[in-house]
Amino acid sequence: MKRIVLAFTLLIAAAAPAAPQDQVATEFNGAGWVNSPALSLERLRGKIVLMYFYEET
Amino acid sequence: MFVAVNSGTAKSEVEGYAKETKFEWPILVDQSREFERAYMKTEISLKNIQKAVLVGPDGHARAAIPAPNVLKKAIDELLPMAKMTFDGVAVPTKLKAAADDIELGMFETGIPQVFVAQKAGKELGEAAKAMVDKLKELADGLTAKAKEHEAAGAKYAAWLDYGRIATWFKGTEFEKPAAAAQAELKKDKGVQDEIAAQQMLAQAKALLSSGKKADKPTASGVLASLQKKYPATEAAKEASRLADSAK
Repeated sequence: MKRIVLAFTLLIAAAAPAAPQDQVATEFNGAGWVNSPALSLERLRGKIVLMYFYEET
Repeated sequence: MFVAVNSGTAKSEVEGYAKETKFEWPILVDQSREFERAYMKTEISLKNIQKAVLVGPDGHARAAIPAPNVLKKAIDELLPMAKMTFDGVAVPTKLKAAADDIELGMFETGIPQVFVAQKAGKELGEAAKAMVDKLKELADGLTAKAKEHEAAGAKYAAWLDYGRIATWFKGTEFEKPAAAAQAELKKDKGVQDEIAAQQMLAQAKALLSSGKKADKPTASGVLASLQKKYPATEAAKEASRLADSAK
């Protein structure tokens, strides 16, 4: 049965992520969007964006 | 702005998950994991499931630890730099959807609606005018940036800037001058080459992110062809990097 590896809980502290510190953000790039038209980090400049990575197995 | 990035799953399955769980965040479908790899050294796994990245108002990414207190502190540090387009403006209910589109960067749908609303009745028209003043600041900023690029000889970047103005401000007084400036820049051979090369690059990226194995050699072929045909372009530099990482 499919199990959601990550429910969107922010309750569990984790080891430090491996994302590089303070790099220019790579623009969104993928096979499409769900729940939204295509977004663009360039167009969101000036805002704060939280990207939460998750996987289903 | 909250964005979820789903790694390694087909769009149809991500749609099913969102529907089943009534999850409403915008979800980027990163089936090939290419986007994940741009930010993470290791793939998400059962032992490694909490991954978040904060992008600040300056467009820079910062690793984020998704524990509420740590995340709150990181966001609090960034908040003074954040700016909403309609800060200090009272947005009327009738223009809320358009304002939301604009704040989310969906300018093509939001901006024309606000300009049109200026002609509406007194109350809505006045509110729309206050919003238009803010949008004019945006257009002026973009125009100044385009001129800076032109002056610095960055013609393709200027072509892009004018294109944004013409598209985002369609139907307004900003559209025609921007479209004319863009058409003028397109006469330049370097701009034409960069446009063609960027189109090939976009095609290769789409193939690489499709998640289909069969698309990878096709993408490599497109990248090689791009570099051969348009070696002096910015797209060729990125194609070289992409080709190396796709090996």
